[in-house]
Amino acid sequence: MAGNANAIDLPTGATVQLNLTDPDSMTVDPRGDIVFTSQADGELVFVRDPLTASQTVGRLQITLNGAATTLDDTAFATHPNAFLLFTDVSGDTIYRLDSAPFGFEPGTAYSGSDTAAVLGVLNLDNGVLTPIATGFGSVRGLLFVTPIR
Amino acid sequence: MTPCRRLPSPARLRPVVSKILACGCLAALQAVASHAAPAVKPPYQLSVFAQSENGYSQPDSIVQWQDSIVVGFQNHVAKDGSDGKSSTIVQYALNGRVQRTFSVPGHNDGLHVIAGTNDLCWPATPMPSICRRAPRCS
Repeated sequence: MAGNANAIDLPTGATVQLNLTDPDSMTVDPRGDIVFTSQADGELVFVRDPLTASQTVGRLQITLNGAATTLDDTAFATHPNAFLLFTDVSGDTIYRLDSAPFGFEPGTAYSGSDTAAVLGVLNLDNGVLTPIATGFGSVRGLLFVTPIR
Repeated sequence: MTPCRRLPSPARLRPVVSKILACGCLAALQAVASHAAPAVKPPYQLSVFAQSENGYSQPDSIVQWQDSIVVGFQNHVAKDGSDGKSSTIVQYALNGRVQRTFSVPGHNDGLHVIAGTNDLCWPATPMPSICRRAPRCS
């Protein structure tokens, strides 16, 4: 996929041309789409059916408190009994996040902002990041760990 | 061959986390850098899994490798690796105990486990990506 490929702006449905300057972390969402962060551009890019004739690209611009922000990584909750690990590169710490009493809602997207230094829940319809944990140096990698029963 | 251990549930891990917090990591958590102390909204609970130590710093990428957690520490290496320094890859048990460390020449930014083979790979600029085979399980 070219960095200037056409994409669907997910909140509006409009066709836009990407201008990717900083593709970074990559994962797969529960629907099987590739999801990567274009970090400095403050957006997530979704790719459905990659490398096929029906490849479809979506763009989600990220906001925090009404302003654009950058993300380093996004992870999707895998299981209610899972826990989330995330790194704080300038805080020299790896944190563990649990959710009690019912656990994480599977499929929910969690993202870390390197510049705003928060961990939040990401609304995949509109790109709004709602902080759930704050006070870090710079949040980087995220990982849901699912226990095997 | 090494038997694969079952992953402990969060409920079984919490006592370990509590011990970690009780032994001083909470103080470290509160003393982190110059920014505000970490705070979390309910119903979430935040604890320290591990911290930089023994000469490695700047944890960045994180991945699960069988029943281990692997973290890439960037060690303030130049992004293009031009300073000749090395990153550190640290393998943890699920309770945060360090199992192994690898020194990797260059700037590590990313970790990947290959589906099927379970090989763990780490790129480290300017070196080619290196992969290590996971231990076999009986």
